[in-house]
Amino acid sequence: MSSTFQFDRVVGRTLLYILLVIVLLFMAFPIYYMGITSLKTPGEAYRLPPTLWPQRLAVESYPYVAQAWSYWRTLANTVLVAGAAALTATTLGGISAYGFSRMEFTGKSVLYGLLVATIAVPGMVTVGPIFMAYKDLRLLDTHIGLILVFAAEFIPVAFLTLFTYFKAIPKELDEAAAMDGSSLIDIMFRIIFPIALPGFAVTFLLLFIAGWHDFLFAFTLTITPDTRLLTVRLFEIPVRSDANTTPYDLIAAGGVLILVPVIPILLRVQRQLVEGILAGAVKE
Amino acid sequence: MAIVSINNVQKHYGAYHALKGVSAQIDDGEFVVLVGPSGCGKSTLLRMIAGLESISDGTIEIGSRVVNDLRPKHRDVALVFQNYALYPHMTVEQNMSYALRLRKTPKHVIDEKVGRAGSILGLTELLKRYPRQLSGGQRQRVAMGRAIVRDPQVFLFDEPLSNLDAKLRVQMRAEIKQLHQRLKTTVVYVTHDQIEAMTMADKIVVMRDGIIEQIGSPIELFDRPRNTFVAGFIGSPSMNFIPGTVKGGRFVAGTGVHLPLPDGARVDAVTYGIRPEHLKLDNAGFAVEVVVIEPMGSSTQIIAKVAETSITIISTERLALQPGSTVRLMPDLSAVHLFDRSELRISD
Repeated sequence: MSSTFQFDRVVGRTLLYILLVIVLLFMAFPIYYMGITSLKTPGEAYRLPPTLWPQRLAVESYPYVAQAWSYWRTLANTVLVAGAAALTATTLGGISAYGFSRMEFTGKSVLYGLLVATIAVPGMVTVGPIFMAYKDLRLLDTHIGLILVFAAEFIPVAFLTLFTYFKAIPKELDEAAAMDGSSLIDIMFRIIFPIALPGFAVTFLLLFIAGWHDFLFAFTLTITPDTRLLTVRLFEIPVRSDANTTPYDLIAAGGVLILVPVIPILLRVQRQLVEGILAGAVKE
Repeated sequence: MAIVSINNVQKHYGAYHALKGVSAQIDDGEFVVLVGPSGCGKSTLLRMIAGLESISDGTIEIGSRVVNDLRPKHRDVALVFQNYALYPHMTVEQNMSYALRLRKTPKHVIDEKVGRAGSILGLTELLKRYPRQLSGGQRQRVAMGRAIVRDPQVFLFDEPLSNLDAKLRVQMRAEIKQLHQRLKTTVVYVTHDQIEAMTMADKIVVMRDGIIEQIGSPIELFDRPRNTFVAGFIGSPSMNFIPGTVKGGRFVAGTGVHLPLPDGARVDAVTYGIRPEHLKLDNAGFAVEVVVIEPMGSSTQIIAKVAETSITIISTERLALQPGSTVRLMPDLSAVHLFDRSELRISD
């Protein structure tokens, strides 16, 4: 009886692992393929059927792409735009989420509905009007213009995430702080926001990654290489002077160069998410 | 230390009338307990004193100053919450010193006050810990410490013991009472537990449905409850109520059980009230049928039936009774309470 049970357990576990490996392969293969393609020679990258491991390791594509893109400059642009937009959205979204989580006022549910509804508006719909407005406002091809658009897009997301977070913090903490003599600003910045710090961190990092990913606005609202972001650069991958084929090795190398900087952030987010969930679970 | 005076206070939540004109005077240094079933408005009243709820009508004065429009921080009162509401990201020391730090109190004064409160409450060893590292009782003490360091005019407690287990509750009850005897600050304490009210209060305010039913010392409420509600709410187990009518100098319950009445009892009594401990087994008494016997060691609780009404008897004797058997009971006539049709006690 007990040995049958043991057997069932082992079979169950094995099946589970096989399934997990399949899922993992499914998700990881494109990234793997990008990685190895970036290390192939241009000829091998183009060959059919494709090879699953480079016959000759070639790293030439990296310096080529890095130079053609002014990689460091573009990386700095992307960090600046994504970072500033995520910070603005997290701060403003956080302040409004706190207000919504604590106060009753006329029109609250309408405002809430409007805020959330803006998440559903596709960027495609707004990009045209924004382009025309930016032309008049001389915000085209500026980082501040991009930051404003990204921040506007991110605020509702930050609002929703942090609203849930604040809702989980007991109102008595605000009241205790008020009894202790805090002003509203004290309550927010000395009590509630520090408690919600994991929530702020996760929100900021997720929005930062969203900014990193954006293509539509970054492509439409910037013109010169000086203001371009990484994703747009990938679209503008150079064609080698000596070839007229699609430079798969260069595209792959560009992809790696875009992906690598966010890996530490993704790992950090993963940890914060777990911590954030735990913090909610043990809150008294 | 201050007098708190509540004058015809009302609270409306939209159409809901939570407090329907409440007046009470809390003397300087007095320990007053607001008690009543949930939804009676006791917490609302406390929160209005604290400044966390607006006052729809009437006034509240603290130390002869009307505080209706004052923010909590200007009222000089401290509130201990039911769930403690400790700041989770601060240590015990930081929790207790927060209010003082906000007021830019000099560091040596803060250290001294926190140190003293810590030693009063036995928290000295725990000052560097975070709330999550403390037990329920310790958190409760920190919440009180946070109130004490501020040296307020009035302490407010909102069901502070209801999250603790039974044993700890009894212990903390004594500690809070001791603390009050030591600090002599005015206390307003909210609870739904009448035992807490009886054991701790100088004065009890019994509330129901947004009004005050009776105000008095614990013994006053116990001995002379104004109506059946107070009579049933104060005392454990509750007073027995037997419906019936007065006929020929006796109280006739239901189908003809005759209960003895004190001399000169009024004929308009329709409810006969007697506490479980004031019924004695006596062959001269009236007959009841035993339903359940609950031995508790120091006493035995008997649940019995008299004319379809269930009553409780507490006996300190060791009894050999069987469920279904009939016993005779004699009430202590000096402890019989009679109530009229409007549930008011007919005073002696």
